[in-house]
Amino acid sequence: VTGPVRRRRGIAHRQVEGQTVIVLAQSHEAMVLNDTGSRIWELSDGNKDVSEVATTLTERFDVTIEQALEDVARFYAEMISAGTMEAVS
Amino acid sequence: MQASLKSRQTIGLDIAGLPLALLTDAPSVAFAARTRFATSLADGDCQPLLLTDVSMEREPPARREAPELEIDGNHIQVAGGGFEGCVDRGAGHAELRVGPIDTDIALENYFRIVTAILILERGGILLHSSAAIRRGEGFVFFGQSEAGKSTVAQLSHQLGHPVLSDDQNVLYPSGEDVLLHGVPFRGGQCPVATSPGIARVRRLLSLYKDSHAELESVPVAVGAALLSTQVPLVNWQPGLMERVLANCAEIARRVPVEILHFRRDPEFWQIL
Repeated sequence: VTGPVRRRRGIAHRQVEGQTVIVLAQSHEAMVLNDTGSRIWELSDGNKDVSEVATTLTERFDVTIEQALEDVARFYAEMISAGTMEAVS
Repeated sequence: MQASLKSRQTIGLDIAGLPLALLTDAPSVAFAARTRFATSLADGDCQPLLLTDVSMEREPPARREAPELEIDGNHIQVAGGGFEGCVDRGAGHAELRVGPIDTDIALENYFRIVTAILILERGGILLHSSAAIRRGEGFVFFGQSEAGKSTVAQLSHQLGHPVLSDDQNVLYPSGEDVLLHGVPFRGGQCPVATSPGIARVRRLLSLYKDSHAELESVPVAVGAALLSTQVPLVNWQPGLMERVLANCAEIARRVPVEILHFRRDPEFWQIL
């Protein structure tokens, strides 16, 4: 995935003490995102592509753009697989 | 004109502070309700939050593998083992059909769903848990089936700690505290007598079977997530998940969730 990704509608999520909790209704599980994951989740409105999200991460966290690109791509792959996010075509 | 010999009975219930009532002209339904909810009977004169009109059908409603719940605004369709009903939250009225076999279980399963929804609206949750009282404070043990809730209830009972339901309990945020309410719902093989009761929650413990007893702290967000997976009947409903998560977060903020590693002996009480 290189293009914009967005949170899927109907996925329950909430910021709790700086971390994002997501409820996965299909698998009857809940997941908690770390700081980086929470920031990516927040930025994923379907308008920014992977490189834009990664660039924003480098402004907040002490990571290189290469590392940020890898983190965002891996995060999106996991979230899309879990059914919580979708690529915007 | 033939006079009706049927008389309608109103039975008031107090389930975790919720004023509920059922209305029926079937003596067997009234008997089942009074027996099943003997510890939660209330004065039927007070205005109930929900009045359920229960009718007995000769042919019981079809059995379902799991309770079914369909929410459309204020209208809620519910169905489960031996019951079918519709709830109009706006009107505070519901209609329920039950069969002649296992009527008490059908009533309990219906009221589990109703309680789960109404508690959620009031900021609380009906948690899949067992709970015990020690020196007036509540200890809540939660987890999925086979996590050890009934085992913990039994071990707690052996030590003389009164046990509330070993299967489901209600938690409400109250000021800076969380209040625990026992409910008249019980597990299939509850090993000890249970009773409704109220206590301030001292500890909120996610059960983990292990070889030793240990307490593990988790962040509030993880606590909220752990709680949200154990709010039966409502937590996977599209229209209710946000509310479940919000209520769990409020509860976890007030009483941090801990993971209780334990083995099958009462030793764990020494670290609580």
